[in-house]
Amino acid sequence: MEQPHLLFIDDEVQYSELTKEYLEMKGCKVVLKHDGQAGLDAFKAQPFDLCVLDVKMPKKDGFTLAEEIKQIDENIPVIFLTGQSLKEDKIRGLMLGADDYLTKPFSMEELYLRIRAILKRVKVHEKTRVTDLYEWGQSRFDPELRQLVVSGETIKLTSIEAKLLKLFCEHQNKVLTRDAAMIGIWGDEEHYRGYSLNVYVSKLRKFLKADPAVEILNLHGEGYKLIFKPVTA
Amino acid sequence: MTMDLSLLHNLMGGDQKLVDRFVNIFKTQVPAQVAALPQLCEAQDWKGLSTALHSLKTQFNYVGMIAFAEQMRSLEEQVDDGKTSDIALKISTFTQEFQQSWQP
Repeated sequence: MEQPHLLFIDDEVQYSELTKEYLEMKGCKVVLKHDGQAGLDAFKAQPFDLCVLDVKMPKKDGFTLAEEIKQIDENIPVIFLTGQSLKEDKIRGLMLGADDYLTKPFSMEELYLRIRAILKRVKVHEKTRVTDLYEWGQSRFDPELRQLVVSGETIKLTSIEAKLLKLFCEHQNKVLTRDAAMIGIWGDEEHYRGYSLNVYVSKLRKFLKADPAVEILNLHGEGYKLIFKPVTA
Repeated sequence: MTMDLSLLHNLMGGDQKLVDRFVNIFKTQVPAQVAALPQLCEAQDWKGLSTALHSLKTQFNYVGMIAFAEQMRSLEEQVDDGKTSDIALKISTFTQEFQQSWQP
């Protein structure tokens, strides 16, 4: 296994510093932060293979942080560190898509073994996955990795941006109604996020601007259409 | 109150150097963290107080000071439930008890 790059966020300075050393001794590369906001900043600054998040932390708790991290990268594995006997924490963590949780106080070796097991699982999944890749003009879009490459530049999409672009790709040269887009992204419950939808369409247009072969059209009263245009050299 | 380091030994895979380092840092930092609790009460910084109690709870657990850990748990729960009317008194009693029993 290549050197895993971990983001470890825990406000208990003493034990977490020593855990970081232990994990580094085992061959991991670890960035350690002691509050939720610093953790989010670190996550935005560089790519990680896995996050270990304490639940109760200053500035931003682990659950809120996980939600924000998953908005940036839906597939990033997360291990929560929870207090003793907090069943609600465990349930909430799992509902947020946690891959595992450890109850404090935790064994360093157990944490390392769980990290290794999850990364192994992720690696197998990556090797076996069959993905729909969309390619046009100078662009390529991988919905599962949420990666859009436009004119050689790689853009990491948020979960919602990726869902929307995938819907556009599935409806290329056809009308994508606002209702279908909103249901496809948010489901029935949050059907009325019209303003947000406009924002996400604008963001996708901005990302795709560098590629003259593609355009998202507004169809008044109907919705949108992703079209591919002939490009003259 | 004395420390029981057996749990820490287990958690750190029997690495005596790591255990010693933890205990040294614990001895330096925990008294200061305890001493800061009354200020958080005075400032009515309940979120900060809850986080500080939560952190102390786990640290006391690590070194086997279970009675202190239990007090931290109870105080944290009380703060989280918004029952803060007598919390300053309880924190004051705890800090005195800690200082009296603390042997660096």
